[in-house]
Amino acid sequence: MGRYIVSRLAQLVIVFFGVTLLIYAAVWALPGDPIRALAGDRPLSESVINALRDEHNLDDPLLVQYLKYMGGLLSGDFGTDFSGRPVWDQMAQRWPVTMRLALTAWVIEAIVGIVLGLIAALRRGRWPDHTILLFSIAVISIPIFVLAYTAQLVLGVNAGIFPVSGISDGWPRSYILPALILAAFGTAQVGRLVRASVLENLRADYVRAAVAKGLSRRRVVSVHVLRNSLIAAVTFLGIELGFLLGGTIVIEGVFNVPGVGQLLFRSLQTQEGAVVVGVATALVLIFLLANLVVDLLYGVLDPRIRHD
Amino acid sequence: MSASRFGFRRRRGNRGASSPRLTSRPGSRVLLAGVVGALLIVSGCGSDDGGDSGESGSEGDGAAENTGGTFSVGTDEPDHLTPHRMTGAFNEVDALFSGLVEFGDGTEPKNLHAESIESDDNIVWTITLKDGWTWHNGEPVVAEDYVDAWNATAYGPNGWANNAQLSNIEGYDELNPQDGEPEQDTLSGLEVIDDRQFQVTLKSADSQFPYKLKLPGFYALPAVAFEDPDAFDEAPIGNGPFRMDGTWEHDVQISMVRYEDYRGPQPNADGVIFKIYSDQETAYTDAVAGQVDIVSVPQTRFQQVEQDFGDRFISFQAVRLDWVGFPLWDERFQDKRLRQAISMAIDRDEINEAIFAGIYEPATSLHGANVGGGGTEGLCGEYCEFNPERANELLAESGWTDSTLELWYPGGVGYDQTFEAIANQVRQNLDAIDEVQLQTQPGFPAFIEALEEHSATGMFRGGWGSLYPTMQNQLTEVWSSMGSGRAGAGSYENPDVDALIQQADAASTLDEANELYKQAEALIMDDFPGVPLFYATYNFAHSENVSNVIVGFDEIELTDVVVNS
Amino acid sequence: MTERFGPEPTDGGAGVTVAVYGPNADQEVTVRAATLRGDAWQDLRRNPLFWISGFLVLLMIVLAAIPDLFAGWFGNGDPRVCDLGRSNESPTAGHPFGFDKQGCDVYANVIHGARASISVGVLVTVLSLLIAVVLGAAAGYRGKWVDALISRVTDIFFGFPFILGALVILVSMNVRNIWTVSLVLALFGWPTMTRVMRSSVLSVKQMDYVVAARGLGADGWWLVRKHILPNAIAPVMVMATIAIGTAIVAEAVLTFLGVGLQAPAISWGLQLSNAQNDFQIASHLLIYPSIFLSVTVLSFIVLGDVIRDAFDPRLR
Repeated sequence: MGRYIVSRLAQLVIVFFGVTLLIYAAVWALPGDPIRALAGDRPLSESVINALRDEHNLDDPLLVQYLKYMGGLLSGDFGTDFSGRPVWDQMAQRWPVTMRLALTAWVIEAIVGIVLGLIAALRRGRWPDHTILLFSIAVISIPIFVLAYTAQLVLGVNAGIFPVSGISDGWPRSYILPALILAAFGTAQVGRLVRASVLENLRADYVRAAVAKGLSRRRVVSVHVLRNSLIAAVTFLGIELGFLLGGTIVIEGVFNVPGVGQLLFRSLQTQEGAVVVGVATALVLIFLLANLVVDLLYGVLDPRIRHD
Repeated sequence: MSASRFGFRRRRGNRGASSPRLTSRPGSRVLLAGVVGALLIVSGCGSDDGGDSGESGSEGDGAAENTGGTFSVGTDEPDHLTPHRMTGAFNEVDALFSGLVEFGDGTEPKNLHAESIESDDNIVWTITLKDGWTWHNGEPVVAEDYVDAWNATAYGPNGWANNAQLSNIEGYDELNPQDGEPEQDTLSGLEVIDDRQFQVTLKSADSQFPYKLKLPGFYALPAVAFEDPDAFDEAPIGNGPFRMDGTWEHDVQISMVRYEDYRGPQPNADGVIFKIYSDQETAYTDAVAGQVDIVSVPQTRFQQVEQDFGDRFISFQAVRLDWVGFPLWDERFQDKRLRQAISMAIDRDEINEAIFAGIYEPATSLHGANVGGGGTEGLCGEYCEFNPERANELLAESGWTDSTLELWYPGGVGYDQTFEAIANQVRQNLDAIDEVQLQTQPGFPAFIEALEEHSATGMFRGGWGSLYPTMQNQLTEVWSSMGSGRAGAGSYENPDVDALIQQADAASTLDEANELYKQAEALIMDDFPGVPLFYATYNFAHSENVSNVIVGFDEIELTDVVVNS
Repeated sequence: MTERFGPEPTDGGAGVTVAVYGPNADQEVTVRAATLRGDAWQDLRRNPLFWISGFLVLLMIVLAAIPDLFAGWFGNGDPRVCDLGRSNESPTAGHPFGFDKQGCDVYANVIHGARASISVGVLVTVLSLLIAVVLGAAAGYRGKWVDALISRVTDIFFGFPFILGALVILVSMNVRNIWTVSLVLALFGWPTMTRVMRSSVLSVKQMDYVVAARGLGADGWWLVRKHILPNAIAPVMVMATIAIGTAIVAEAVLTFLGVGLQAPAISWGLQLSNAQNDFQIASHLLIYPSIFLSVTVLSFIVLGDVIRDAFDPRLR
């Protein structure tokens, strides 16, 4: 197990360098000069363009730029954006916001998803099951931005239950609506996964054995079935956290939540290389770590899988 | 982002159409030196005792006394708060800083911090400051503060965005050499006479110089700004009606309170908070819900703004033109009858109604009425009128053989519907055209590169907003051969146009200048390098919490805003 | 889904599981001497959900193939005849779904939009599925360095920001049609399925019958093809049915970015992304494409589920 973790961590380092280089190259490959376009139609003077390009190492070859960037990164310098603001400052300010939003959504997904999945499985074929199925499919087939705008309009503007946008009301008021929308898709997925797993496990031999042994249904379900059914949900939720973190772009845009998703999108549009690489790298790292944890949890939850 | 939406930057970012203004770079060369110096001395209107600043203010409603209260303005994240470095934070900068002149909702510069701006020859200008003005830290604002700020801006290696605005001052070229570092760091054309007076020598005569003084590159900075410009940028000490209350909270807000010792027109409100939004649509939604007081209305909300805000919606015609440009470097586009045919195949009224809710005005020239000299409406003549039959005739005469046209524009930044509508009309109204292929570019950098490198292979979006209301700016920067924005005109050039613009720059009276600019524009319209589409507007809406919201060339007149109790 | 900008995340999960719908799903079935295929058909034939969803999927495919068959029903079948003067008008006679912002007939556009959208959905899914089955099976079955290599490559694609990748690739290709858009979506769509495939192969590999087959000397691709794949592919197939829908929506996201399908292309994604700005004043712009999209997604999911159920030997 220890060896396994060490080797996974070593792989992680390699992936880290690979991904940062890829992202760097990707931003570098975008057409157009971001400095020249800083002010839209209005051209900057050549001397200013040169000064800014020089300041941001944009005239160096790709590999030199990358090495300069990594050199700075190793000494804790994440670089600056084109208006001179340290990328680290922006991330330090925005990560907690995105974390809060993503974790709120994640908890909603986990709790609501598992509960709905269980109900659907235990009431299989009856109205709760059908209702939940309908809900899941509706959520899957409606684009998230449609959901978001509709919720904003109905619950925010018309009904006034939640703030329309921004985070000025703090947690939880400002976060609930965006988190609900963000969680909707994942909740449907978790529900489906749990329902199917539970159904499958209910039919498994060990359940029959347990029942035959005289254990109560409640105990069989809550101890044996649930534990064995959660593996799929845990896998999903582990990966999902990474997606929620990186995937808040639409939601952060619609609800004006100043998190990293927004920052990433805006920086992509303006080709702010240092910001994109900083945010994307952090996202990739979190994702990789979450994956590692999930893989380790596998072994704990399902003794049939082992990492040898 | 929204999907858009998402805003995401238009421009600077986002998807909504961002503030339409774009600035300019003075670059005229002048042959003649005019006389009549005092022609441009305009007396300011700023009375010192608070209140009803400017003729524009509505009277009544008790706006004469400070009415107190704090209001909020929706904005996107500024790039900088230092005037000379920023490209999109005009309201914030005008709250913190006062320039030499202001426009309000008129087309003439009114002295703000300047006592007088005088020249005998349009080359050497003497600027005198009003007495008693102080920075927010209490130090007096002196002539040297202007000179130092202009020097720092003009010094190329500083990389301050508004550098180009100073390019017609004597000595600019030495500070911005083609190669290598400049050998000096001050403009030879600037000279401090005393604390309240300094002299500016231009490279060439410029009758419009007092107008240009409103450009952010011509503001002053206190001595402290040069010690650590980046720290200063976080909490600027200005000379304007409001001072910073704390520092700039990035992506959240910028809070300001009234500066009690301000010597210009005192603001009615006690404070203003700029709430930072990632996209204008969200800001708009917040304004509908009453959570922010004044917002710029994104184009996507034009259709509903009347319904949402009624008479709390304010539209002001800016000096901005949208047009369709052509790759004049491509021989297929040489015949102007092709370009005229396309122009006549576009029903501007219908697009204005459907896309802009009638808020823009169909263009019949390059300049609408709201500009010095009264504009040039109608210069385009029949070619800006919708006439499909004539359009088809012209197309046939032009020798265009391809059944497909292309239309290039930056995607996802608010232009999509407009250009899709144009594409549809051209396709449906020109019988020989079966298809207009939209070439959506992924954002501004790629789009601008396609124009500058001449890699665009079809007609494209063009737009220019002037930061000061004279014809000089757009004509020089877009349609002359020395313009910095001429890529947007398909790199059009005509030596006669250049000559007329230069004569106008050197004209001795404003009337004479305007007359010459109009002649230049008539020549351009005759060549028909681009299809004028719309005179655009600044559009703001406000909540019921505030009144007396006035919008002009300087965007929102923040000092006039009254917070309702 | 769109926010994850990719079909994949969306359908997410890895898991070894599968939903079961339909009356027969868990019915005890007596063992008969019959082929699996024959049994499955028996089951399907009696399942109304199969007929309904199958009919809808078929309808959508016909729609995609021959839109003109339906588009002209109300007399205005050309999606590109647009009258800006009727911008955003509500449904009227001859225009049952009203007009869009450009004054084009929404009904004709929705009908014609099926082709691009369904093509993208199917293409993306097929491409991702192929990659996922091959790589997932290899990683799960071979383990060791093959697994490590594939898993890390998967991680890279997983973690690579979809928007960034899509922007760069589509921009550098500078051609945006169904094929390029599908390729890009598939490029970022296979990792989730691959992970699911891998984990389900992992658990099938440990099953007694596989261990037994191995003990009897079976090995290599024969074992994978004959025993592991048939038993491990169900979860990934279910995901695939959902992926069709999510890919259709993801195409809209690319449009948002300015790198998706472009007019004159017609797709539900384009219609939805155009509708968002006006849906408060013209909700029909959002409603009709949404209904078609949702019904399509729904049909694919349900059809996939009932077929899988019918073919899953463990459920008999």
